[in-house]
This record gives sequence, C-alpha cells and structure tokens, in this order.
Amino acid sequence: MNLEAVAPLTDTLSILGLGMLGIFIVTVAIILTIVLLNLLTTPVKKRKDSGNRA
Amino acid sequence: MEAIFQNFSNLTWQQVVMWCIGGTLIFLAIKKDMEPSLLLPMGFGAILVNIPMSGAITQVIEGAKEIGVLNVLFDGGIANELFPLLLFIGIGAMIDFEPLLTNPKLMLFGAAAQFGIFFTLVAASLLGFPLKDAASIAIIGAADGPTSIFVANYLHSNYLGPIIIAAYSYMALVPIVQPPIIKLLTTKKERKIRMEYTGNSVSQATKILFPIIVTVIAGIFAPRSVALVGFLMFGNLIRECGVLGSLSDTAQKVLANLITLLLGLTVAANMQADKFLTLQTLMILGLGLVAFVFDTAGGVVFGKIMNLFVKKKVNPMIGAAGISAFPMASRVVHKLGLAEDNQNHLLMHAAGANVAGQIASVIAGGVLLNLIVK
Repeated sequence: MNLEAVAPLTDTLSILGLGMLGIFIVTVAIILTIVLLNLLTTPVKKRKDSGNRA
Repeated sequence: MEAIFQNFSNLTWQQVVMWCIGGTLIFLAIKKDMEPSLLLPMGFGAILVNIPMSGAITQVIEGAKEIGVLNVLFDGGIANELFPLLLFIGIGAMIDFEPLLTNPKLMLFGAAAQFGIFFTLVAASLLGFPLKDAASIAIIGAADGPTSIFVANYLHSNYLGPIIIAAYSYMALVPIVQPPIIKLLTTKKERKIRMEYTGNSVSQATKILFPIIVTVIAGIFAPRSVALVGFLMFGNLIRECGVLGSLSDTAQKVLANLITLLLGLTVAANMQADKFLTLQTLMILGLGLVAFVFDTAGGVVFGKIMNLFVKKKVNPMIGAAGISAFPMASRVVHKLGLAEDNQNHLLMHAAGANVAGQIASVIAGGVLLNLIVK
C-alpha cells in the first residue's frame, strides 16, 4: 500500500475487517494455549476436586 | 549589549503559546496527577525546545550545524524504537497475568476493545491523512504509550509529538471518558450483573510458559509485533521465573523510571511550535478521543453480544476494561459496578480483561503494520 497517499474508503474498510479478524484469530490461539497449559500443568487430582465442588 | 538581548527578536508568538502548553502539561501533571511521570517531562521539554535558538535541539547557525542533546536522545532512543521497547520490559515485569490465566475467555474482551484503532484509521483517512499518518493516529486507540510511539515511529509519521500527547492524555482521562459511554451502552440491569470469581490458582509452570508461548504465537501471526510482544513478555518472564527477583525489581522500578524520564523529555524534541501548532494537531487530539470512545464501545458491545450465546451472563461493562490503559480502565469498571450494587465486585474480571488488552493492543499494532506495510 502507498503509505504516503490517502487510502480510499474501500481499502481502509478492508483493513478494519482484516485487522479485527487477525486480532481475534491470534486471541483465540492464545486462549486455546492457556486452556491447554492449565490442563497440562494442573494435577489430575486437583482438577477432579474442583470439578466435584462445582 | 546588543548581543545580550538579540535573541528576544527571535521569539515568536507561537513559541510563547508552546510555553503555555508546556505549562499546562506541567500543571495537569502536578495538580491533577495526570500521568505525571510523562506529562511533566514533556511539558518541561516543550518549553525547553521552544526557547529561540534553543541549544537543546539541533540548530543551524551561520551554516554550521550545532547538534542538540534532545536530537541525540531522539536518534538514539526513539528513532530506532529503543526506548519504548525497553520500557516494555519494565511494564511486562509489572503485570500479573493471573486473573487472565484463570479465566482465559477474558482475552476476547481485549481483542474487541481494539475496535477503536481500526475505526479511527477509517476516520483519519476520510479526513485526508495519508495512510502512514492515519495508521499512526489510529494507534492512539491502543491506549498504550510505547506501542503508539513504536508504530508512529516505524511509519515515520509527521505527527509523533501530538500522537504521543494524545495517547498519554487520554489514558489519564480514562476515568472521565469511559463512564458516560459505558452507561450509554448498558442498561441498569446489565450493570448489576454479578460475575462469580473462582479464585483458582495457576501453576508456576503456566505462568512461566505463558509469556514464551504468547511471543511465539503473536510472532507467527504478526511478525512485526515480535519486538513489542517479545520485550513485554520477556519482562513478564523475568517476573514469573522466580529466580530473577532483583532483575525483576530493577526492570519494574529503575529501568521503567529511567526510560520514562528520558522518553518524556525526548518526545518534546518533536514539539517545536512550527511543527506542533497546526490544525492537524487539533484533529489528532479529536481523533484520539474517537479512538478511545470506540475502543470502549467495542468492548462493551462485544460483552452484550456474548451474553446472547452464553449461559452464565457476563457484565458487559468489563468489555470496557479491555483497553490497555492499566489499571485505570479496570478501576473504572469496578467503581461503576459498585455504584449500581455495592456487593458487585468486578475488579478481578476487569483486571483480567485489562491485562488482556495490554497483549491485544500490542498484537493490534503488529497486525496493523502487517496489513499496511508490504
């Protein structure tokens, strides 16, 4: 993209759409990682205990 | 005798206006406690660089170039993005990600509250700013000073000074800017929604692996964000590893304070009257507000949409804490929750969304650069 020129509305709207999509994709990847990390690093006994409490 | 007074003739009214602006920044820092660690050095710097023939900045006198110390600091610390990145180590060392790690879905609020960045990009382009400046102005919505400096500088924006002032000023004004928007977009019933806090602890291994993995994920998707995310997460790794207590303390206090001190003064190198007193500066201040308003709205509306699909309702106000301004945004949400119901404690949820916003704003900066710099 030409950084020195004023971008047309169609371009900036596509940046808006792609930008938010990109952030959400990275976010979901991070969430899945956290969930996985929590599962892998919490002892099975503790997980069962908290499950029973709930 | 004439030699002593000759500099008076070089003084312009624009420079006097800049002294007043500098004085105002110092007043706001001291009397109103608005981001004093940055606004005070910036205010003093604004006066320093607007003294006619100021030796603090580079001057060409009779064809000879005299290098000013603020330009040396600018070239050595901001032009190469060093200061904002070093500051991120300190910020990373200050952040406790535990509220986010115990409730990872809060990360979504951090993502949604970046909407203002991209909306402002559209608005700034419609107002006639070239793409590099529109993107630099839009990143004010990251509500994160170092990210704003990094992106604006990366894109060689002509408006670095006003952008940084807007970013830090609106961060300080979060308690004034956010409540009316939150109230406008939520009902009394929604603001009263209570959220259970499980208080589950997170293992040390998770806390250590989290910054490493986030760096890798963000780096793969948005490689230009690696420096920002990496330095932020490196700071957090120092904090959480458990064996570098003194380094963590140094990063949180000495390093962060030292860089902040130099950053404020150095940014002022870009606050010379001829560059600063323009219509564009006013437009940038206006667009900065737009960015914060739509960030807040993005987070709150996302919370409302989420409630359409989940069993356990979330209080949509915590979406507003998804902006990066830490910890002001989470305090605002907590206070609004208590104002509706004095037993509704939202602080931990809001803090989780708030630290998520810290990560998401950095990722947003990287994604934005990826999209426009080919």
